[in-house]
Amino acid sequence: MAVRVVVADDSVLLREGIVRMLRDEGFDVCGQASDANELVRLVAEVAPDVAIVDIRMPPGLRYEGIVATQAIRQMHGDAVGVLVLSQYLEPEFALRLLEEGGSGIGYLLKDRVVDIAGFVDAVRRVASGGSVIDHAIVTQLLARRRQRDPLAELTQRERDVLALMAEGLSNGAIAVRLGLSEKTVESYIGAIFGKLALEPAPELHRRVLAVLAFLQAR
Amino acid sequence: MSRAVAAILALLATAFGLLVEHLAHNWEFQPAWIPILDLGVGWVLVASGLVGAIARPSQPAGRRLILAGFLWFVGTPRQHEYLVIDDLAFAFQGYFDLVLVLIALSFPARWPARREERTVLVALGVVFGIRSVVRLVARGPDFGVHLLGDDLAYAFVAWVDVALASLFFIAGCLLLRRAVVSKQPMRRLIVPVAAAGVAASFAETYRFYYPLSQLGLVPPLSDDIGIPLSWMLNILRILVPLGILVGILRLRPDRSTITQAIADVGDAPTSLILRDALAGALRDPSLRILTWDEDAAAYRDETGAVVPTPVSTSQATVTPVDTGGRRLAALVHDPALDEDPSLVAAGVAVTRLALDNERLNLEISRQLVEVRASRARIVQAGDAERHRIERDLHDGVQQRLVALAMALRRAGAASEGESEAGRALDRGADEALVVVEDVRELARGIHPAVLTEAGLRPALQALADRSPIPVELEVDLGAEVTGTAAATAYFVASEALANIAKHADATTIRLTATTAGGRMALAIEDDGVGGADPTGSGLRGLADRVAASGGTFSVKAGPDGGTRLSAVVPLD
Repeated sequence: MAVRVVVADDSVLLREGIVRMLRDEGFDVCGQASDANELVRLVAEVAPDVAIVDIRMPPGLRYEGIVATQAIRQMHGDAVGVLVLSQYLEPEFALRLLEEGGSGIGYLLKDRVVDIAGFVDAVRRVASGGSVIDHAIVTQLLARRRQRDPLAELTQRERDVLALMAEGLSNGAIAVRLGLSEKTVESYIGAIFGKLALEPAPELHRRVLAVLAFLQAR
Repeated sequence: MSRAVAAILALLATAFGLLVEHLAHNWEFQPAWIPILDLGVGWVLVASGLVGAIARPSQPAGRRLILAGFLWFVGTPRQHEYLVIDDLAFAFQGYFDLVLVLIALSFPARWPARREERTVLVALGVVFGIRSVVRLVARGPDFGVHLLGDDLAYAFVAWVDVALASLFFIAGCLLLRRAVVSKQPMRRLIVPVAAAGVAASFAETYRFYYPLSQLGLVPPLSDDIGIPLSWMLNILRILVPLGILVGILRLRPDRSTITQAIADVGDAPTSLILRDALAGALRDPSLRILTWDEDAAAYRDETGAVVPTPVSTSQATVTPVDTGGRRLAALVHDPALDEDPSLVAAGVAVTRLALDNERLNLEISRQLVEVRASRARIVQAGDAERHRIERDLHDGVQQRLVALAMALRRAGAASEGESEAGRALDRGADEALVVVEDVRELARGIHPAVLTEAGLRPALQALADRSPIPVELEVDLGAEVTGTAAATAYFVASEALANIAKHADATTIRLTATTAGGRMALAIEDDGVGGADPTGSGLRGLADRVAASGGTFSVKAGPDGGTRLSAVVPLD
């Protein structure tokens, strides 16, 4: 069954482009909105698997996308994934979004829509409850962490792995991306959990904690 | 009067007095106390005059006292009849009293204020003149040339002397009246001088009792009365210049008090302080300063209340204070001050100075406030404009570029496989993405969205993230920093980090931002080579920007080398 998507963006040109692309890629685009309020109503109405949301929309043209995400989270919990598209490279907005917690959250720079395969993959991951953070932002956060203590203990390779975890990649995907075996990746992740002093817990849970630990710790 | 002139005059008086007394005194027949008293009177006159002239240079009484002292020696009666100087002495005997009466009737002004006073003075002068001529020609009834015949000359000279005595008596009465009717603040000046004048006048009246007795009009004085009286009169004469000197010294109109008034007014020239200072300087507690309000076309008193336009009455004189033909204020003061116009003029000058100064100060501070406000508005307008441009870029250009790249990519994907057109379309999409990034950087440089949407702390963090040199960030913002303060802090930090990266050759940067007492302090220190030029255009621009938001800015060598740049800006 096709993934059901709604798209919210005040730029008609861009919205139409995204919608057309998603349809081409086999998604079921079941609604479009041009501002935050319309989006929240639409989500309540059609209950999509994922909403693709422009961060900046009328009426305020500030960060209505994040506010709308909060509203959607409150109404639907993790049932509806939200992928926020933004022109802002600053990690600030991504962190704010992550503060919502839970799964099925994504934050990508808007230009990622041009990389059709990558973008479609991200939409699918968010729709199925995964988390996606733009790698440019993750890189910045990692650089920031490097200047502080706890994460300085991680080796370069461990940081690479953690970055890809933050992007929402599975162990297998990380292994492919880094040209390693899945087993090696698992041992890196174990080391990361150890260095971040994460208590033994279900794998997925610790994974989220590892990512959030360094993204959210302010 | 300079000290040198005073010293010369003192020497002259000493020598002249000694010479005159040496010549005049008949040591064989006269007791020694006569020349000693004579010298005492003359020297005290000159000495008092010198003190007065030095202490109050603008007051003529001091110089007149010196003149009276020399006239005293000139007119001292001689017992030697063979010298020409004796003829002159006889002719000019008593002139010093004329000068003393002039001083007493005029003080503290230059000339007497009342008509009758002037008339008596002129009459005295005329009669003295006649007597001098008669004495020069006739040389008196007792000796020398007898052109007029003994009896006639004797009678004429005696009557002239009687007339003089009468005039001195009238002058004495006028002086008494002057002392009695005078009011404060002039009274304390006039009384000692007038008292001295009364003493001098009545002494002259006695001096001419002798001719009256010669004419048989009064009984002659016996030596039992005459000699002690003569003693008393000469001692009285010593007191006369001292009385005048007291008056001169009490008179403090000159630069001293007016200067004091200016000092009292100081740099807080409110009308009330000015009034008190001037009332003290002019010794007129009733003094009021009414300032002219051009807009209300009316005078205002010290409390700022509008008052009716004052007019001169017998109780108060109104003296206008103008500047460059513009009305500034009016002094309402005791009419007694009219007797010393130079003092009033000085008061007017001080008032003009103070009010002009106050007006200019007000004008400047008003302009300064306006300039500061307009500078702040310009900065705010600049910020708003930058924000608007950033939004236009974000919502317009960036969106369209992304849409364009996406369209190109899809077109490329749709074109069959590895065709030439497909590759060109892909390259177009890549190129468009590069432009998207460029525009994003440009927009952030113009006005970072993170600053307005997330606040100063994340904005500074974002600056630190992008700095090629590691930044140790310490942000402790107790108060919310927004608007101009936030934008100023951000741009200062941004420019400073860029400068350090470009010029400082530093390995670490320390950026601190704290708030306290309604202000935010921002400091950026590096461990680089230092030598930043605060007058360079970059730092100059930052200093201007900080000053425009009402803050302070400084660039100094850091404690451990490198450079420390700090800015303190008031919170909005």
